[in-house]
Amino acid sequence: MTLEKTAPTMPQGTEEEVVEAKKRLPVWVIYLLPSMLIFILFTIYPFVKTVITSFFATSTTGSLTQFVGLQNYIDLFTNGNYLQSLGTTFLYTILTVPLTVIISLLLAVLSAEDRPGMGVFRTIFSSTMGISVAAGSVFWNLLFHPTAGLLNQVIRWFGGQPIGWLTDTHYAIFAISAVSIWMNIGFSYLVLMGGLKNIDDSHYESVEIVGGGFFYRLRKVTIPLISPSLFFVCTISLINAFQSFGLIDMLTSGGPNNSTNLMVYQLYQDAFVNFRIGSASAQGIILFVLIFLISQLQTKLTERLVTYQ
Amino acid sequence: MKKHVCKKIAALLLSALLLVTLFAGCSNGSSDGSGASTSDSGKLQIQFWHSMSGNTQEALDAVVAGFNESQDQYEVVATNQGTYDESTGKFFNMAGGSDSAHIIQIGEQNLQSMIDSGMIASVSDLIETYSFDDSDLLEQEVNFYTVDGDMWAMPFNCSTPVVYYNKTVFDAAGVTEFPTTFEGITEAAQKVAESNDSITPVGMYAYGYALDQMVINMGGYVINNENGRADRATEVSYQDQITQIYNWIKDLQDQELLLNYGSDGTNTISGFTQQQVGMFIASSASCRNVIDSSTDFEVGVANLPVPEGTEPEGVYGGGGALCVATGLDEDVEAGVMEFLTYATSPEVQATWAVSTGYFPICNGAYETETLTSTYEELPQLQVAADQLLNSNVNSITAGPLLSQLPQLRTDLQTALEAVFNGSDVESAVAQAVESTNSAIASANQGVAE
Repeated sequence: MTLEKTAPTMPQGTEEEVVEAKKRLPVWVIYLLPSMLIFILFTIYPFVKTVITSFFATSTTGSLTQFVGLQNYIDLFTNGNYLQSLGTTFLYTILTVPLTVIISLLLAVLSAEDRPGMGVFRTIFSSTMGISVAAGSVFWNLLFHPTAGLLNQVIRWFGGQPIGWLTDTHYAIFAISAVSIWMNIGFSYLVLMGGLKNIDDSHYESVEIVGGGFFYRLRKVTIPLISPSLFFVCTISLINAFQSFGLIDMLTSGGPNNSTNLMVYQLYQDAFVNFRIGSASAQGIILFVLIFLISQLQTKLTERLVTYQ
Repeated sequence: MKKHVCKKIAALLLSALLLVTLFAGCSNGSSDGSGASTSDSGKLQIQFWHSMSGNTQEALDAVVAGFNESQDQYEVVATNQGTYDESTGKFFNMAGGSDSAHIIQIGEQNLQSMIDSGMIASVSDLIETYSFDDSDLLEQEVNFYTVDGDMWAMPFNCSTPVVYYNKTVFDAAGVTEFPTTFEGITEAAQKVAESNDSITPVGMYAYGYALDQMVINMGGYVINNENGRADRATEVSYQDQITQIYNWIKDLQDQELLLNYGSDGTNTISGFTQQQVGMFIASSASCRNVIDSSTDFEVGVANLPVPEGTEPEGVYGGGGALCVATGLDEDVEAGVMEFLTYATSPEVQATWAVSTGYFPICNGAYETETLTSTYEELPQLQVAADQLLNSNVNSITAGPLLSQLPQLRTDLQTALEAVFNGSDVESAVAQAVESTNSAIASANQGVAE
């Protein structure tokens, strides 16, 4: 693939020159070597190793003790808990990705115009980027506290029944999703803002000449022109959602009753708490395949909608 | 064309491989295998991985500093490596490399995994080689860490789950003697609910360690083959006891006497210290912290309850213990043993106990002035110790030996959370049993015979 692309740029000259050039080690190899090396060492090798491990029963230290074929995979797909964590991950993705993108798009559009004081809003809207998952979780954990938390105090003040935000199976996944959206808005907002700032004013002037309103402008100019940024944000958010871990680990440990037990958290538990490395490797591969397929699907579905200037 | 591509890729891979081996060579060259290194002052360094944080870390650092000052041959370097489970995982991944731990603190749930890894030395052997005096160690502690006659870890920080209660509130409700049975607690909780409507009588979080200790206390084996002591355990055997425990909790909840905090121990403690709940069950390790943060009321501590008519069997000596890496240089190993001798000596254990909530693992410590005066001042601290000291010593209170103990506890927690959320006890228990049993089966398959 790489070579076919580079082939046309190879030296064009007499036949001897071409043969000579081919004999020499191509320059690109030297340029690529450092990054290839790191890539092989830290991505390809672990990946291959994970694939191999997933076909084995392992000891607590992770050494391969017995070839079991597809047993690890079969066990996973017949395990109610794992299937539930798959379902929860999908639910979580559906809850978080669209809302994150829509909210940050709205915030970006609202704060894109250069008016006095807009900088303050931009700083606020992008500020969650600067908050670590750990700090954010501690903060929300205090708000969600069943008895002392601010949210329940407010509810009680209005005479309502306190809610077990993180302890009730009906609410936990929504509470986690809300925190996740809050945390991710910063990054999405920043990327979309960058996209918005790149739109040439002349486009908006044309809309004004036509006499289009806010929504006309949004639909016909803004969204098509920032579609590359939107596409990027969607893809990244999607992958992030599938790989969510920190919030779960800090806030619920997968509970209550596994209702927030996302795939990566389950994987972490099996690999680093229960030391069942074989099963964890299989989960890693499943996750990889899943993310790969879904981002492919997403690319196929939205490719037509993305316009590059 | 295609052929060329293949050749080039092959060449690339080869050169990459060459570099990789080069790197590997480098790292081998700089290590001396045993990991012995000396500090600036010429002392031999001993790497000690632990999982203590916050106040307990300060207390542990004091123990280590005390040892380093007590002699001039060794310097123990204490590093926090995350939770017991995380630290154990890192120890496995280091596979005895040069920066790995010489001493590693484990939780009781890591014992079987550690033994299976073959990366730790038998403490019994070391005791014999270095004529360590082990006669003073608590037999309940030794009972847990001994497998087939070999002790695999040196008890260090011992704790058991206990009931914490708001003595002021319970007294006001007319409950002056804290009940020892499930039924008694339910009754007392009703009285508290009647006399005080600003507090929920019972707070609870799903805490696997407390649950399996309660099973033991009720005289049940947590897992088959006598808690995995007679032979490697193949399935759980806690069903009868855990069903009774969950039924009790469900009953409390149905009567609106219980508030659940999910699986968050920290939130439970803050709910208790802010007088939002009247009692909870947690490890005695937080005892000091709970007493110190409860400024407006008196904290009571009581033994784990049992159902009416059941004689409490006692608990197993949980908490943390110190494992010694295998294959150490002789001089490092001698230093390790010197540190273990120091860390388990009565006075050190007494000081460590009063500044944390753990209790001493040697009999001598209970006679020190440090401990007796503190126990006089804060008798609550003594309850957890007495609960263990009064425990029977048999195969039940030897406690569960299982590499999948963390999984077993997670499953018990999940089941309890299901009960909290209205699921019926029977199906919750069935699900936990199934999940743990399949995990045990898959883990046993991977054990090298």
